[in-house]
Amino acid sequence: MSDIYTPNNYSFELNPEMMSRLADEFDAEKVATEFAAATEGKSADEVDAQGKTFFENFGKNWMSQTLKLGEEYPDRTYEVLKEAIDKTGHLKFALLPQRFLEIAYLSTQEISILPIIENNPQRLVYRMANCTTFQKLKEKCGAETANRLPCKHACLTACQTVHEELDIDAKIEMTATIPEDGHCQFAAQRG
Amino acid sequence: MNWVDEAFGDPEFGEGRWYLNPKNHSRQMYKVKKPGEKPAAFGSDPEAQSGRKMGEIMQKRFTDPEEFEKLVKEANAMKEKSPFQIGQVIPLEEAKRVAELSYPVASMSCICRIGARGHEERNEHEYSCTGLGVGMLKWERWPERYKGGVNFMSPEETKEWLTKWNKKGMVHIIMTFGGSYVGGICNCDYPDCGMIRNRVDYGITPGCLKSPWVATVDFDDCNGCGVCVQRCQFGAIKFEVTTEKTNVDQFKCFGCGLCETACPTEAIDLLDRESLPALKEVW
Repeated sequence: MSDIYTPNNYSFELNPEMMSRLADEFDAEKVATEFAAATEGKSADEVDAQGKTFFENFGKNWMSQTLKLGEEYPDRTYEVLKEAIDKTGHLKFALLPQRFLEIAYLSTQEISILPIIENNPQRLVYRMANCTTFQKLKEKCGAETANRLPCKHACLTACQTVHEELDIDAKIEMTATIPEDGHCQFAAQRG
Repeated sequence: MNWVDEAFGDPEFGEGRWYLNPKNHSRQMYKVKKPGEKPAAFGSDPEAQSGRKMGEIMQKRFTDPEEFEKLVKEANAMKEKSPFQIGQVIPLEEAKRVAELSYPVASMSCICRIGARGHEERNEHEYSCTGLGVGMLKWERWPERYKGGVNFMSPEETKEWLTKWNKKGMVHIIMTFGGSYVGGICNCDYPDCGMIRNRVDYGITPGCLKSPWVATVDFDDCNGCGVCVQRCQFGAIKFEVTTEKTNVDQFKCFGCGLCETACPTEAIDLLDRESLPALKEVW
């Protein structure tokens, strides 16, 4: 993927094949359909309990595969980031988890950027507004179930997983939700 | 409060100052282009647009002075919508606070000194400019701009580096590269720095706002050595022969603090600009 902006045939962008593999494996329509089938006819409490398990598993697999493919398909931005980490002894938090979170969301959501609200040595905060998973849950399971945000467990677990796998001590929390704020927001605070 | 703080500051962070708001230091690493989407046109970046606009105004100064005055007034009145990059002078201690907020920080050569003097800073020991934020991870896209490469620095190294340039007598200017996104801290002097020259010589204010501070001299402590007079890049300090003390013209002072950091008797302090009724609207 070289163009006039990529001297030495470097690509600074995410590899399309990697994104396509993640998109196929973690397709929002597919996951919403599976969840709808698994929770059909169940009470709200049962849906909540099932949602937690279902989406925690999904989030863990989603991020584990993102970490794996993100290493299999490096790009020049990532190589320079690793060089900068080696050179400075800093930058691991927030920039390493940021890269993999961006890969995870950009590959599976219909967005062109993942809005990063904060990225500094103390905090990483990012936001999802037009979430395809939420929309698909609304279609397949109804607004009531979607608004209970069973899918938040996927995002929280993905964020937790990326920090754990990269050996970064961080406290993960959700600081905004689509039903209340129009977007979901997640924050990782350095421990 | 100045218009940039009003537009981009957050009272929860850094006393409401835009350049201490972590949100203005944060940006995504990647963008997925839509199918068929072409790269941004050459010269469409804010820095290039800003330079082009400044060039147009400079020409008018000689060919059409009335039009020049009009364009300057218009550009300044547009505030955050001005076609110019936003920049502000900040003292060393605040530049160090920025070093804690921006990730990553890389030093690089100063483009203004190449333009003004043909002086090329060729390696990390000479670099006087920094690029801030994740965009610096893609510096190799612009090899002509980053001749000699860049040097990534830790927050502590950045603070030491800023102190080095402060000791040499350089003014720290923080600047944006599009919207409120903080993209660099430069170590500047007159007449090399384009931002300072635009302000001092042409009256274009958005690229070089004054800092939230103003220098003041304690005459009891001033020993009249005059070091501060040599350091001031804005002609705001003079030596008063009769009293054998220095004095600051606070209307000219940009609050860079170069005089404060060099004063051997600690006779100079920085006052909060907004605590002084006559100066609180002077940015």
